[in-house]
Amino acid sequence: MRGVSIVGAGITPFGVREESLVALGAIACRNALEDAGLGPERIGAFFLGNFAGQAFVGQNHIAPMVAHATGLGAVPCTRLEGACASGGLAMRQGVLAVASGQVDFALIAGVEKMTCAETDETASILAAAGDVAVEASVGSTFPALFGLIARRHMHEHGTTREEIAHVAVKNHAHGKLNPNAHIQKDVTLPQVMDARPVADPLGLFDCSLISDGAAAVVLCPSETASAHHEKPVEVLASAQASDSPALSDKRDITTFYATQKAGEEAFSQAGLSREDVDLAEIHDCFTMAEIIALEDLGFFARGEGGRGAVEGMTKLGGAMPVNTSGGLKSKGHPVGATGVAQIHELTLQLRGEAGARQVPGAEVGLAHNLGGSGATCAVHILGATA
Amino acid sequence: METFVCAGCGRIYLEQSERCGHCGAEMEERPASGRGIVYSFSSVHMGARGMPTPYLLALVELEEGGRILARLADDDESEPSIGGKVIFSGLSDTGPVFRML
Repeated sequence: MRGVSIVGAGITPFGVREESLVALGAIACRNALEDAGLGPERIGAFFLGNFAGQAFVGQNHIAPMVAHATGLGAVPCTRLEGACASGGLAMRQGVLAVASGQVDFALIAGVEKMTCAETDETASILAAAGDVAVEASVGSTFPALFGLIARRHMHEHGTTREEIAHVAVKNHAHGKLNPNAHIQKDVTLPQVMDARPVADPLGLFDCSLISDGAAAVVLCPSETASAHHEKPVEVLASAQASDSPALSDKRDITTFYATQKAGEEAFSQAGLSREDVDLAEIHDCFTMAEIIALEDLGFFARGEGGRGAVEGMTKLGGAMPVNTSGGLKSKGHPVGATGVAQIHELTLQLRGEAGARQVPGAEVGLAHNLGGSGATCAVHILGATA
Repeated sequence: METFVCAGCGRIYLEQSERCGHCGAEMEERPASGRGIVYSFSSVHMGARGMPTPYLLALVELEEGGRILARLADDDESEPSIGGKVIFSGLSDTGPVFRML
């Protein structure tokens, strides 16, 4: 297997977008190709993350449509669906395609268009990322599943409501600095704590945003990467793991086994330790999810993850800033785009191009992308060019 | 209370079927007391399409072992709590319902 690097990255602003699902994908793809200085004819394979095109806008089979709109020609096009980890899976398939020598250039994108649906309809569409037979049928939604998880985490590990709320405050403070974020403004601790309840203990500001958007990256072999970008970003690890989505199948709902496994595998591939990571994009579909992921990935001991945002370790300026993009919480969460958008953010950071939210001297970044209530997890570790 | 437990994956069902809807293995009948404790719960205020809110969801740990996601009857005056005792009160069109003891 050969080394793989990122030589192009593109994104659309996240939020309520007028463009169609396919057009959003094509815009991000063109931005990424332009960033790489490559024409579409150079791409050998296209991998697209998309969760629910059919359910949200009545369109499936969108990988060849986005490819056609991008001018990719007859290249193999594959759509990946792993709920909110769809983008991370697309990234991993692209990495494998280039690493194996199958293609020299792979284009990876993720896209979702969600804001056209009513909120309760969206909740029902998203609920299909869980085990419908034993969860959605009972009235469970994703906020409800994470409400159950949060309450148990508080009970078992002493995590406080304030600690959970601090994640939202932090990620909004970061997102305010990201011109592509869906919501670019601060929220205060009382606003989060006193917000309208969604599924207690979680309120409105504990939930990620319902957004439209797309992101894309171009991959090529590391050995030729410097010919295509002056600051290629190397893929140091690409790992994936799975588990049952149903909470009733899990022995412990305060941890996600798939995150633990994918994280261990990623650190092993990269030959790095937790202390080597300068920043991370963590799947904060809910505030609680960021805390659990920080514990599952080994950055904090079990029950200590809440300290990250409260004590500032995970804030910009802290030891390991988390979700400098604003995360799903503030940048937005167009489901299929999220995993690729995390890679996009790390790419900017590792090139030193993240503007007001730049982590000074960032050399190693980790992206954690979680599907459903922990059934699919993709973890990537990226490194700056020395 | 009658439960049907999958011999393969251990999933618990309240309605009989020949094979597990999850893994396809054969099912075993298992009598249950209907008693359990609340493993976690959430009061859902913004719910799934067509389901009136608020409603109480709970992950219930059955006395005989295993957990199921269920509704907690909302006609109770008592507040749910983790570890609180509950008893099976029947199947509704949204699945199993427990009430607090």
